[in-house]
Amino acid sequence: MVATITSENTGSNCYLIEEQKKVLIIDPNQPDKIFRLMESCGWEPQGILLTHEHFDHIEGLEEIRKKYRIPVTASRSCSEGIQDEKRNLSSIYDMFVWYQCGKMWERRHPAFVCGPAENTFEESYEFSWQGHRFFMKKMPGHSAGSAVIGMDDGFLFTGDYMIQGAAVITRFYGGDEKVYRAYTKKYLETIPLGMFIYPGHGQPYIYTKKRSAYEE
Amino acid sequence: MTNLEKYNKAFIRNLGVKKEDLPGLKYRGIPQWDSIGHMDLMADLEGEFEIRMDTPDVLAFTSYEKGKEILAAYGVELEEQE
Ligand SMILES: [Zn+2]
Repeated sequence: MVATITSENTGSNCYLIEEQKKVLIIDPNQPDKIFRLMESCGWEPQGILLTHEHFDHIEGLEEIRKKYRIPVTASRSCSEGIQDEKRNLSSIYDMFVWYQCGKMWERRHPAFVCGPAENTFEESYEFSWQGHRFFMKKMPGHSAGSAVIGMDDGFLFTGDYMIQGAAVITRFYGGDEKVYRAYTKKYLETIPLGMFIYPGHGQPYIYTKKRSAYEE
Repeated sequence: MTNLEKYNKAFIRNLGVKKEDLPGLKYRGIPQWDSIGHMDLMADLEGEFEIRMDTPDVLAFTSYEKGKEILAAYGVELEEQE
């Protein structure tokens, strides 16, 4: 099963893929909520996968690593990005939340960085876990280290691509519109109908009709 | 490079404008200076001048000129003459 934890601060989705009580965590956002769910279900964490380096997708990464001591897998560029407060956008945390969610805090969130991922890949990476086949494929454009994560040909974790009703943003630091159009957009357009899409923000959904590159 | 040059360069780099467009330039006055362009610009200026602006100041940073006043409050003097 796939459980979703949505951050009320940033709207990001963390996904927990569970099989036989073992769990992979995608984009750890809010540690408290993740710990609570894991404990109440008696789940055993086994690894962390990242779709990209932006702060709203890695906010809970260090706390979860500290407690669980499980390896992180990400593209090399994502691994570099999480170690850089400019690339992970944590330096604009509050502005981001204000402009994207209309919420303002009294105090400013400090910028933060994370340690490097334990496993990194250049373009793509395939592995098996608990009888499931996984692939991770680098998809630059939204950020330099962005990737999609596929499971068993039917499930796709898309990070900040394929968010329903939202255009892909390529203008943040590290984003690249040209690369997005030349490469990532072309890949996204090959996603077959019927795929379960788990985006980094908003509701998961079944891909039922071809849209022009995801609501441009 | 003077502070004013750094200030101007940040606008030019993040908003894709020319130096002569800068006077009178306003937030949402051009397509590139929308909320995303604004965040990029603010992050860049903060890095450039090693400051952290409070959110109300980020929101009040609504023009090229207003930004100079705001940065002055953080101790960044932007000399007027070039
Ligand atoms: Zn993102």
